[in-house]
Order: sequence, then C-alpha cells, then structure tokens
Amino acid sequence: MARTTVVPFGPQHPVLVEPIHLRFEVEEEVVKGVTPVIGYNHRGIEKLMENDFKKNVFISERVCGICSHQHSTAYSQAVERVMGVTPPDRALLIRTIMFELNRIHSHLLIIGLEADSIGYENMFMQCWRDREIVMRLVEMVSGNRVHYSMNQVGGVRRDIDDAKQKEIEAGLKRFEERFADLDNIMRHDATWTARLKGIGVLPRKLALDLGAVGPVARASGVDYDIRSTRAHPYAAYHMLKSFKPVVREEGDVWARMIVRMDELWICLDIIRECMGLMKDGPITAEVKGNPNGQAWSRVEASRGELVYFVKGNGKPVMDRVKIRTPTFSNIPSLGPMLMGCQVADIPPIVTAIDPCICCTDR
Amino acid sequence: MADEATEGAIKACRAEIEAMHTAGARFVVLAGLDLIGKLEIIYLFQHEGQLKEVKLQVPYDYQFPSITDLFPSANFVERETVDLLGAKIEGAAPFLELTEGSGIVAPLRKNAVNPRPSGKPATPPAAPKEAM
Amino acid sequence: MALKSLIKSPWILHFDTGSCNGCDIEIFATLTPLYDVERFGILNRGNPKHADVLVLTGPVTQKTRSRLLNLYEMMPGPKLVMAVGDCACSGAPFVNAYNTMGGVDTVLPVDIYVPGCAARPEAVIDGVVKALEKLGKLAAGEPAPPAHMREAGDIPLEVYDPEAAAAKAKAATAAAKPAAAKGAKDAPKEEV
Repeated sequence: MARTTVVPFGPQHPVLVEPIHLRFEVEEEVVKGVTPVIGYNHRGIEKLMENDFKKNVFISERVCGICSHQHSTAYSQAVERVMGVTPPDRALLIRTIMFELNRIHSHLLIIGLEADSIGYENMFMQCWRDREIVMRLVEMVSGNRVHYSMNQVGGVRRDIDDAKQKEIEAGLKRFEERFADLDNIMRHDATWTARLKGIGVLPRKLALDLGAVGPVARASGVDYDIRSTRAHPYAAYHMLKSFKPVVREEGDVWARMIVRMDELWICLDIIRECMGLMKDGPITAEVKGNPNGQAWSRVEASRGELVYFVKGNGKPVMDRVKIRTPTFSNIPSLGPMLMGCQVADIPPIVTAIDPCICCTDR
Repeated sequence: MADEATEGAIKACRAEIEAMHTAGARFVVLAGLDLIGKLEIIYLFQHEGQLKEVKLQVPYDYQFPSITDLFPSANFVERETVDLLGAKIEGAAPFLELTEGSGIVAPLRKNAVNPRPSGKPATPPAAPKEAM
Repeated sequence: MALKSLIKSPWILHFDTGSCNGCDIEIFATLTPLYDVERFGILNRGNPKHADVLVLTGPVTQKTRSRLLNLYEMMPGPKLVMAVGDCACSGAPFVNAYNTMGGVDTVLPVDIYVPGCAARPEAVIDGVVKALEKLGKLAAGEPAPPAHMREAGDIPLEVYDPEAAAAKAKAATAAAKPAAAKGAKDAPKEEV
C-alpha cells in the first residue's frame, strides 16, 4: 500500500539559487501533489518605488540581478510614455544592444544551471565560462558586470562608440563558435536528450489557461513574443527586420531549452543589426516637469513578458508602480508540469522554467 | 452591507470581463491602486494585438468576486492584491507574499504605517566556538 | 589540527535571504572557470552539516529570517558568517522597506563584509581570504576581530521628500563656501 510522504524542497537548496519553497506529496518516488510557497524574496519594491521618478530607474534595476537592464528599460519606457518623451534613435539602439546582451547572459546562465541540475557539471562550467565573454563586454560599456545602470528617463547614460562596437563585434564572433558547439550538444548529446526529453510536459491548452509566458509558452506551441508583434513597438525593434518567434510543439523541458538556444542565435543577429544602424546623435532627450498620468509598458524579458504600470500625479514622487514579472505568471504552470514526475526529475523541471524568484516576489 | 452603486459597478465590470472571455482575449495582469477611501482595480487584457483595460472602483473592505473562474491565470495576482492592498476578493487566500503574524497589513495603502521589523531574535544565536 | 584542515579547504553554504540575485550569480561565477575558487579547495555543498562558512546575500526578509537562524544553528562550529553584497552588509537600498530586517548583521553576528552591488568575484575571493586569515588566527589562539551584530533600529526610517532634500543640499552648498574660504578641514558633506 502506498503512503504519502511530504518532501520539502527549499528555500535553501544547492540547485536553485533563490529561495522558494515547494512542498511535494510523494508516493514511492512519484510526485502526486505540489504546493508552491513564495514570498521569501518579498522586499516591498512597489512601495519603495513611491519615490522620485528619476531615482526609481535604479530601484527597478535591482528587482532582479539577472534581468536588471530589462526592468529599467520597461520602467523608463513607461515613464517616457506618460510624459510624452521620445528618446533619440541612438539611445533606442543602445538600449536594444544592452537588452540583447542581457538576454545572452541570462540564457547561458540557465542552460548552465540546467546542466548542473542533471549532474552535467562540465557543460555547466563551459556555459558559465562563455558567459564571461558577455560580462566583459558589458563591463567595458557600462562599468559594472551586473546592474549596468545604462538607462535614464529620456535615453541612456553612456554611449557605445566605435572602439567599443569593434570589441562587441569581436565578442560576437567568439560567441558564434561557442554557440555552434552548444547547439550541437543540446540537440544531439546522449545524456542531455535522454535525460530531458519527455519530462515536465505542459500541453498548449494549460499553457494558455494558466498564463504561461516566454520560452515556457513558446515551447508549448503558443507563438507569442512581444519583440515580433508590431502592435507594441518598444526600444528599437520597430527599426529592425521582423523575425518570427521561436516556437516548438513538444512542450517538454528539452523543447524549452532548445527555444532558448535558438533565441541566442537571434540575439547575435539583432546586436549586429543595431550596430549597423547606429548614426551619430544625442543619447538622451530632455525631460522637463513631472509625470502626470498613467501608462502600461511591456517588454520581452529573457523569461517572458514583463509588464510595468506607472501612475504619476504631477509630483516628482510616483503615485503607483505595479510590476508583473514573467516568472510570476510561470509559477502556476509548475503544478501540471510536476504531477506524476519522479522525484529525481524535480530539479531539471523547476530549473527549466527559468525561475527568478526575486522577480516573482519583488 | 450591499451598496447599490458599487454592486452596479461590479456587475458592469463582470459583464465586460465575460465579453473579453467570450472574445478569446488573454488576461495579462491586474493593477490595484489606492485612491484614498476606495481601491481602483484595473484589469488588463490583450485581444488581437491590442491592450484593453477594464476598471473597477470599490470602497475599502468591500468584497468583490474573483475572475479565476473565467481566467485561471489571475489567481496569484488576486492573492497578491489581497495581501498588499487589503482588497477583499472572494476565494483569494492571503499570505502569498507577506508572513502571517508579522504585523504588516496592506502595506501599499497610502496611510499604511511602516512597522520597522524588530530584528532581535528571541534568543541570541550562540557565538562561534573557537576550538572544536 | 582540525582547524588547519578547515583553512586548507573551507566548504561554503550559500543562502539567499531575499536578494536580487546579482551577488548570488557572482558567487556562482566565482566557482566557475575564470575565477575558479575550487582550486583553493572551496566547494559549495548544500548541506549545513558539512559547511564551514555561511555565505549570505540579501537584506533578510521576514520569511527567511527563521530559516536563516535555523541554518546557522544547524552548522557545527567553528563557523564564519560572510555577508556578500551591499544588501547583506547594510540593507541598502532596501533598508527602508517594510519586509526586510536591513542586513544580515541585524540577525546574525557577521565576520566578513564584502561590499559591492553586485560584489565582484574578485571581492568575494578577497573576502574568503580574509575569512581564512581569521580562522588561522583562531587556530593559533591569537586574538581575532570579533563578529559584529547591530540592532535593526540603528538605522532611522526615512521617507524621501524631494523638496526637503533639495533645500538641504542648497543649505549645505551655501555653508560650504565660507568654510572653504576659512580653510576648515571639516566641510559638510553634500547629498549625493
């Protein structure tokens, strides 16, 4: 007769960097139920953002250390929409270049952590060594490896001149060889495919009902990527050639990682295109007065759709800032993914949604 | 205690949300705002590439229905609104983000008092020993 | 004898008490190629019973506080507590938040502070070296700098008021001019 054991997973565990508590009900190595408990990382950022609208850019960066530039882009855009400020083209292109560099490092991070969760430590070390290429590039441009602080309301704070563009181009060339190697492993390696195919399946209907976003949804057949929908142009994506979102049908953990790998290739193309389109000009527009009104702003962060809502009352202090992060929408999808799986499959499945609990709890 | 105007507003909002559901829109997020004395809830939907808002204003502590029967993806964000703004949504359990017993109630309201956490543990942890 | 083996190969337990993960990723980057502290014998094992150094990031949030005290008590001595990143050192920028304690040293006695936002891997390695020096002193029976703990109420709660901040900055600049003319050493600091 099978008895149910309760297995607590987290908040401190070596596989996941962030504190989340998952309570599993397990019968003989098979998961029968899961309850996520979040709130360990809740710092009350929405309350802290009732602050000077220019200083909020730096708070919004510190919601998450992995997607920090993406948060500050979404916030700056929202305030620019409220105030009717249009950043100059060069600023938009610089924002997009840093955005895609941020995406490269985030995807390499999660591919490495996924390899670590199945015990493939060599691949974990290789991915993180390749990540150092992009960390050097962003440090050269912005001065910091994490929290680039490139955005301000009205534009960007630092320029990418020709010498830096040459360095970025050299970095992208190195990435091409590394990505070819990584792509080969992720598609054909026996350990990777045998371990990750078929686990953590999320059918398309559940992905739509539970509100999954980002690579989790795109791996289940939902073709939605804000960068490629022309209805909501943001940053410099309306100036670039349009691309189709990367969609797969399998809906399992392997498909999610392949979606991220394909997106890495697209990042290289976008950065090259942006550098080709850059012309001389100012990098920031003048911002006068205080925000008065409300606006929504959405960006396609590495993990999915990131939504910011800002409301100003004509004072320099913002009235309300609401953040909806992609992992907040993806956590409920963990329930169906983890049902009926083996206990040993829990780390790869949880890591594959790219959980960013600091984003979830804010 | 039922309030005619608010009940009417809730019914109208519910009708709009049902129309969104029938049209196949996607629920994106809901934002709760504190207009002192009442809460404003803005539901954001995406339909055919366009963003659409549905607004609802309720007095403080007025219970209004959840939309998780139509849009199950609204569960977490409703629970968060219950926690942080003290909204009363039917069926949305509190303590998603906040800790039970911490003394923090509806922190995003304008008149919320920031209780500085006390910090001192009940018994001080033992000092590190010098030799094993 | 036991302490000598600790110095040659300290194992760490890493716990995130509510940070933005920038410092956590930099701690992981310290374990990976390019910085590679594994060559010094430092391993990241998830088991508190095996760990010598508790590496913490993040301003301690309410929910993680009890877990943190649990972990600290589970670790056998001698143990060191290392606070990595500005959030763990002092709570900034979340020091005024309603859900945070304001830094690790309001909950546990901290031995090593590694500042930075995010703390660079080189700084983390530097912190580990200082931790090993402290362990060496303890092993040799010499006096070592004590662990530091402070009251959460040490930092006054502030609400940002832009007009008051602007007026204060103006007054400070006005006061600095005659002081500079006199050549006084203590000039009032301006708000950054």
